[in-house]
Amino acid sequence: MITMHNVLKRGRTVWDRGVLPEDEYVERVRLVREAMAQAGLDGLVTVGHTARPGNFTYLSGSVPPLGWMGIVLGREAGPFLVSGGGSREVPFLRTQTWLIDDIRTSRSLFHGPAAVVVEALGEFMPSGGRVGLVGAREDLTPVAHAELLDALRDYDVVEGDALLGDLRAVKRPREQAAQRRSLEIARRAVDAGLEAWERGASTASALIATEKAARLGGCRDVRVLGNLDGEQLAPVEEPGDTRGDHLVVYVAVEHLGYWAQASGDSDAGSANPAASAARAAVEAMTGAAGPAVAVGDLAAAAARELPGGEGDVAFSYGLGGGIGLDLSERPEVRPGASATLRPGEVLALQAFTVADGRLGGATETVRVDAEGVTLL
Amino acid sequence: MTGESRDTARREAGRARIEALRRQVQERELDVLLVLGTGRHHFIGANHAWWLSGLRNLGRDAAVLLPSDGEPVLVTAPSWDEGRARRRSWVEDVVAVDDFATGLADVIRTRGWRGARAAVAGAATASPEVTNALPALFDAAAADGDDAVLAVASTHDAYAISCIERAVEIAEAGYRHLCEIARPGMKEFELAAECDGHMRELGADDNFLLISASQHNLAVHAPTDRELSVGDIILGEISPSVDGQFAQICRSAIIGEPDERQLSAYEVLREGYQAGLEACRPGVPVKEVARVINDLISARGYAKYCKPPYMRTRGHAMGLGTLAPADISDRSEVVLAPGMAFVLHPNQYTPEAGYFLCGDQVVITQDGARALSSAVPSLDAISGAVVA
Repeated sequence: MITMHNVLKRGRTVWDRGVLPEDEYVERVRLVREAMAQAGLDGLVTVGHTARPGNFTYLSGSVPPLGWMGIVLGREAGPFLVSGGGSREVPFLRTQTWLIDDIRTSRSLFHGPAAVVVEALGEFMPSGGRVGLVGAREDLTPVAHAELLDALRDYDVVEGDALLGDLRAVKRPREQAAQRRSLEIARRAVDAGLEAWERGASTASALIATEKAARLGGCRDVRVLGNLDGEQLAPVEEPGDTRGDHLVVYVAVEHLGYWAQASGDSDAGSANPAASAARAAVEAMTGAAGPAVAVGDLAAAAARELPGGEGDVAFSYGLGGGIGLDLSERPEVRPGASATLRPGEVLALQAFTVADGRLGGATETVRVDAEGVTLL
Repeated sequence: MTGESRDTARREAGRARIEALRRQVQERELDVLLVLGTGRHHFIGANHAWWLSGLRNLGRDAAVLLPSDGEPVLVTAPSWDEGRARRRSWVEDVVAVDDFATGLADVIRTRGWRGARAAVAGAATASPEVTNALPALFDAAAADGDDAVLAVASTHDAYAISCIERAVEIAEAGYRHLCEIARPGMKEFELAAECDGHMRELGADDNFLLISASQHNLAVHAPTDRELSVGDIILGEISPSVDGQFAQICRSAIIGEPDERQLSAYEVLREGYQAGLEACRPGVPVKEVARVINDLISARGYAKYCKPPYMRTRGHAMGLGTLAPADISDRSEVVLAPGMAFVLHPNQYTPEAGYFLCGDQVVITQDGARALSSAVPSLDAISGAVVA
């Protein structure tokens, strides 16, 4: 789902060692190094942006509060954490990551990591070595990306997104535990919003109540959408007294780095054809999902239940896909997509549609198993 | 200002921005200016498509196409956001698409702008997809249009100042709420969530909010599980935005009564703030303001602490339209001018009392500088009584 990006992830910010202990990250690094060896990579440079932190968070456990952060990893050296923040921020950063021994600060949040990355690589790699770049194209500005490529001109640079993407797609048991916690927060937040609305709150106030409940529940970031001014989802941008005749709420939360989403509909249980169609579409996708199933088949199953078929507005909202350290991960459920599901992948499925001039929505989160799927 | 009058004011301001920028387009003998904006909203980053359209975009990219003659076009994503885009924007011609790069190219082609003399502003913030599409959008290479936008957006207009003023009111209300509800046993993140929700109800559309506490702070940071206790100094960097225009106040409060070393250390920062405020006026170099603050604090014996990691800067501007004067730093080459707005904050660490926040939002006027808060920053006891 496309949501409104906050300028600061300003909620509960902790490294919970009970859920994600240091050995979890040691094991991830070992797996990445195995993949590097198979790909013939001598080094890996991973960049994450606060708006799409997953690649960075997978290796560090931390979420960049602003702008970008990076990880430099050798087959035997590192990992080194490269921060765009200044030295003032290092003491707190040390509480948020297992990489406390080698944090290197770059000159500015607004410039790229080129100089620091090249310095770190130079400590363990001679020129000519093969370096995989992960996330840099998407998560640095075009200028900073070009600067990084230029700084790495003495190395053989290749795209490394697929290498880390494959590892991240299958969720490890501790990742699933974190995702279940996130899902609980999201569902409680939806309940709080619906309860506020049932008590007579305006639509905007009910959505703000949803957001507050998510933050009090312990999420770091939260995105809330609802039917504020008509039969489409929108974020709250100003308070208001307007109260529609029903409430549809969507919430996405990030807790311990992991995203989950949930939705609620005050029409649930009543005769809203859009809500019924949305629920049927999500159930159809859940029923179709399983190992080796193409995600395009899920989209086709949903289309059969939606009032507009393949032209339904639900396809503009998106039918969901992988979820984890980023809200929208691979694979994306869309018509014709040939990517096939693998055991261990976690999918956030959704449908938001309009029927008889009324919005309705539904969501579900499932884990792909050897035989089919399990509700998370 | 009522909701209706605010809406009228924002639309009038928007039309004025369009006409002022159109004059820049005409002076540069361009046919069309493409102004790009990003959905990766940033506290210290301009978004000129938002500034020019009034729409905070949901999707990764947004654009306003402003012709030298004729109505502008707003291109935004996703398509399901079209209703909100039409309600929020003062640009009447709205095109909402799901594939932004393709949709933008289609608009340029169908409106007859492919062969136009064009310039592009905001390219540095575009997605890789739009960055890759830019060279082929127009028949001839587009010029850099950033200077045209900055010629208009470099100082805040009256509507932007009114948003900053309202944001300061909300920030002060948020801080009062903090002082009312903070209590021993409460966790930092719970306090932050309560204050955040309060400011959202008052109209903050986003917030660069940092609330943390310690008996001896090293810096302010994001809220954690730490439980508040008597003797804690709560730091609040409170920065709500109204219609995308941020303002910031920096406050420190203690649970219980402050001791002499805390009062003394805070007083040094407050004197630094006052000296800096008195130095602010049109024509004064920013580095002179930073020097006044640094000299005063250094003279009290803290020269070692007037640099990282003990502090970062003596203040800074915030988005939406202009980032001038950027950091209040001794390395700045900016000269203050009427219409500039920024937070002035001599926030820093002292070995006796730890890190304190002390700062306020300031607007440069024709005559000097105006601090926007209703009260000068002070070290507050959590009961709410001002004790220093």
